[in-house]
Amino acid sequence: MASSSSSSLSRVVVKSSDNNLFVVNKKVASQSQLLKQCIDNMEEKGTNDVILIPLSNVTSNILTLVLEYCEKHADFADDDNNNQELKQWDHEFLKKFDYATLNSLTMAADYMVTKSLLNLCCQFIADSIKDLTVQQIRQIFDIKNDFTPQEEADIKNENAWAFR
Amino acid sequence: MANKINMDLPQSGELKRCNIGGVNDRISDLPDDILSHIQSRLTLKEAVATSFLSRRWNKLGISYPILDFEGLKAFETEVFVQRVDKVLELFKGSKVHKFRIVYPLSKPSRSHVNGWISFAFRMGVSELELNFRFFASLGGPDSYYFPAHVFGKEEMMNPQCASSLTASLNFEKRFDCLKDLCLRSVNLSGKVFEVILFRCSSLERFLLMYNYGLKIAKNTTPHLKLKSLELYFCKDLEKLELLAPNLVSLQYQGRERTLCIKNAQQLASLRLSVPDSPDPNESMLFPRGTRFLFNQFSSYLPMLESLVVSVRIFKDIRDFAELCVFSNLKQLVLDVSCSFFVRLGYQVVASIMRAAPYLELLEIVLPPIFLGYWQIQALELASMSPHQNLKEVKVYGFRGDGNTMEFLNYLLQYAVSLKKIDVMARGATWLADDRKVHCYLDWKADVAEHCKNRMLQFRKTLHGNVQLLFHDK
Repeated sequence: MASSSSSSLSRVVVKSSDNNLFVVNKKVASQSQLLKQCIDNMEEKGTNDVILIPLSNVTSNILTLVLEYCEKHADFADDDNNNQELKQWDHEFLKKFDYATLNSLTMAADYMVTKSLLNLCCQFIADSIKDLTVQQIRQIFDIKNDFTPQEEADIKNENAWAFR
Repeated sequence: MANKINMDLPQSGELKRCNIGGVNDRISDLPDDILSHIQSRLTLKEAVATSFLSRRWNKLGISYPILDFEGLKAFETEVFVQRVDKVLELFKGSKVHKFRIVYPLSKPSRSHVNGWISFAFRMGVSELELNFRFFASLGGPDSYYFPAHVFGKEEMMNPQCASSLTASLNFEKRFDCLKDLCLRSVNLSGKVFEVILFRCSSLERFLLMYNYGLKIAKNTTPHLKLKSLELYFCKDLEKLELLAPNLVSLQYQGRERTLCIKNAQQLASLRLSVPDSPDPNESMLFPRGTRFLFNQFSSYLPMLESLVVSVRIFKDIRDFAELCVFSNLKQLVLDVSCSFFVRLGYQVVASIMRAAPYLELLEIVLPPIFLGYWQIQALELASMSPHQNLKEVKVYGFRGDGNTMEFLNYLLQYAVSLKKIDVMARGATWLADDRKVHCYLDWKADVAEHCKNRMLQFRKTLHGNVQLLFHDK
């Protein structure tokens, strides 16, 4: 385990819900407001020990992805936000996953308070919904149509202009 | 670096389209606030469509803060009104940022529109736009009137009624959010104009277009936030009397009227566009001709950075020396909409140039129809000391007339920093806030040939770093 001789922490250990441990550089961890808060709290207490942060809602598979994102963004942290290379990377990063993974990643980003990743995921999902028919959206996102036929007919009638 | 301690994961390259989440495999498992977050990134139409997905999405309603109904198409007014009502019913958000209706609505829909405006204010709307224009029908005395009652009772207007003011403090808050108000083909009384400026204390931009019913536009308490006022074709307007010390921009298009702006120390952008045909009643209102209009702004001229003006306004000014005050002017657009004023136009430009040492961009909009362009009196422009800052000149509606050529040569002689001359055969119109460059229909072959030759000749006289662009179609 990494240890630190300085008064501030340089690394933290994050534990996933399936009990895997990840050593994370502080700059990378700071991309998540949740982790950053934990680190700040510990530093205030003046501890020199490496701290362990358990994340009970995030599996190691998803945590790996969140950390991959944080790592990339930590590299660009001092750059301005409009960095084209980073945007391209973001897009390629999300493109790899199916919607189920994207959902888990979105929830993890929400839980770990990684706002830019949350925004990115929501935008990506919204972009996928655009231009699709209601039926296609249901299919892709596996949304069960739980309206009664009568209810559905009524709703379609009322909002026909938006129906595709 | 994130080092994983004891797991073997596939490399990221192998993750393509594979489910490695496992637990939450449906979008519907996302919590409501994330769903709303996703929804807020859709257009209004797409957001409404999500309410058909399932009961849960339906219950979620719409919380998207931008209610822009421009895309909502309905052939019958009743259907349109119903649909808007329905969306407002679905709306579950706590705040509307923008509310926009673009649809030809008139008096019969009044009660619904009143309801929408009340709704928008209740939701703390920041941008409100109503555009009830329909093709050629620009509105008329029978158009919809912006209601007074949404602002509450009249006595609240009086600052002396302290008790009723305190009681209405919460009520007031709603109007405080409004920053941008655009009313096109919507009528407004002078009273409501005053109430709006009194109530909406955060209002920064106010646009009125194709308006009837507004005779005297004034406010009595200075409005501190108003930065931009745009009045286009307010048919009944007789007088504007505005107290807005922080006004930056005044854009006016319409008949020559009394426009009185008091103590606007920030005014930097001014547009005065008047129609070609004089108003038959005008001579009665302003017996000494039209120069009054410019005189009304004489104290602001030294502060202006941008000026858009019709040449007609200068018609009665004999001595241009009195215009020698444009000490901050950077951009000048001169609209020569009538071919009788071309010569005057260039004389005006030359004298403003002399008076505006910091002028950088000059645009000249030539008239759509040229009468006898081959036999025009010379400009006889006075010489000037070299102009150091003029960099770019644009000429719209070029026909190769003698005055324009003379002026271009004048520029080559005196505008020593000139970088670019853009000459366009296309004309330009600038209707209200909508600026368009369009193609003329009467562009005949002989005119085209004439223009081309003139430009060829002119190109030979170019020197230094001046770049000439000629767009002939």
